Amino acid sequence: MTSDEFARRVTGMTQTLYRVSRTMLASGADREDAVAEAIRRAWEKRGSLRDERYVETWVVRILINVCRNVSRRRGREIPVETLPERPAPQGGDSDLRRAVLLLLENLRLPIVLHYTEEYEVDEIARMLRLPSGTVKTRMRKARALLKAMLSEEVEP
Amino acid sequence: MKARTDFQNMFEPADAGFEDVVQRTLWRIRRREGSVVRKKLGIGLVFAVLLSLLLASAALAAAFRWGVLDFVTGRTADDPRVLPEATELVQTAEAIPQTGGHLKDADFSVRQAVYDGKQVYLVVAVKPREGGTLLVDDWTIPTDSVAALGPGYAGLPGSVEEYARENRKARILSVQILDYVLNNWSPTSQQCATEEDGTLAIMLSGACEGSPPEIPLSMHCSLKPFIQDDQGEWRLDDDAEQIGLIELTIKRMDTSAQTRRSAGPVEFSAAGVRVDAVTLTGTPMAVYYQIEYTVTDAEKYAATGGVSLAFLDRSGNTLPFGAGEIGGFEPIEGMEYEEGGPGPTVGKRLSQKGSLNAMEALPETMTLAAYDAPGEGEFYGTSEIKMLPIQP
Repeated sequence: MTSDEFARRVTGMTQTLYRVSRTMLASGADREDAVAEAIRRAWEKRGSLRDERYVETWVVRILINVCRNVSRRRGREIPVETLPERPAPQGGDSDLRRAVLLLLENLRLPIVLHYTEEYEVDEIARMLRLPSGTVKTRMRKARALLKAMLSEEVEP
Repeated sequence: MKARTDFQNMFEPADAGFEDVVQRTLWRIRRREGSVVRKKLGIGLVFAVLLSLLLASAALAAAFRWGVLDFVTGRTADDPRVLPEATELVQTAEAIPQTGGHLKDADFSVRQAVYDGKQVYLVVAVKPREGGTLLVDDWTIPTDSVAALGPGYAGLPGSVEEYARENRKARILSVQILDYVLNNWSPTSQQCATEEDGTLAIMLSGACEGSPPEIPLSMHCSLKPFIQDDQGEWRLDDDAEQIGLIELTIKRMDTSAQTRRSAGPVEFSAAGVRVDAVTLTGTPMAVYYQIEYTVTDAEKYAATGGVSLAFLDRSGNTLPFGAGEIGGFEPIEGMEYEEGGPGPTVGKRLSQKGSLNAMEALPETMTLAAYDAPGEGEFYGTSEIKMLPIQP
């Protein structure tokens, strides 16, 4: 893959990279550090990507783990809901966002990857290195918790 | 009901600072690097073969009654493998004392169970009472691809609602087994398959601690119809939910499980951990493993992003997942992380559990590798571990 092609693919997924990092890191500065590091790592390790069709999935996976590293370097996981740097967009569901950000990361991440980023379960399983059935069960639990918090069903 | 579009609109767009960082990073890469095209492995070919196998087996699968081993092995080239003796562990409905499960629109029954002392696998068959009803799992909505109905439907065109229309299914019901009322055992994985007569086969699997000789279970089963509003949008009709209860008892089958434990600790100093013990338990279904390790260097451990340990074959390839849906990393009991406290410190004990394909005999040595959690290829070394037999 050429650097131009890589740049084109990454540019096309900027909003996804933002939303995924937003799911995991509350601080804008941390998100910027994380995405820069993730893009650099993805480029440096592009040789280990076995199929270029899945570069977007692969970059997201790297970003997820870079975000975790950023959290750990800080010494603790900062609850993402405690630093509302940016409000929900106009017309956006702030109750839903608040509830999603209150979920534990292992439940929050699959929910965002599936519902917001529209990744399939198998893709999420590859990203998170979990069996597909486990991903589905975590999302099922997350939906049950969201239903309890919002008093409203979540579409399957 | 919160729809998928609500999730898609809940986050604000990336701010200018974030976009700027992305572009500046890419600019630096392009400035520094030339255009180097790397050939990738033929993974596309593997997927093409897999899809061909699934399509070719679609007709066969449609007439099939899905059992535990069918779900576990998946009947494709890459799925987990079990030993031939695994068939002896399968308990059929006749051998499973069960009561209940009769709802107005469908009957729930446990068709098969396997309990090898480490993992429970259950296949629940949900049979509609009327031919004009299509059952779907609680993961599926009518606008999903028809592939959501399970193996045998992969690669077929159209949506679930189109399939229902074409097959004269006037109603679509969402099926759920409510796991928060399952006692003694909690499933961590669910797979589904729709059979030719409309029966929905659901396999639940999960680890069982303590290996009791019998496990009594109570499972609440739910049916909810999908309805369309005036705009044609689908939603679940909570007011029309039907709930039932199945009660049953499953027995542990004598598996003559083998167990081996590592001879001693090994260091992965580059990853900042010491592996204290590796335990393998082999049954005809899988080899279940537990790796217990201790953080010896907090800074190095943190740099790994949370070390991941894997077993390698003779070629240095990671051994694939086995049938057991045991998985994940956890602190060893009694050493939980404190909310808001620091990350892993020296002395923190952790455990990684999982399963490998079943083996005729547990090996006398295993090759263990440590790598970073992302699986990006950062290896922190390998170690040959001698495995000693443990008498039950």
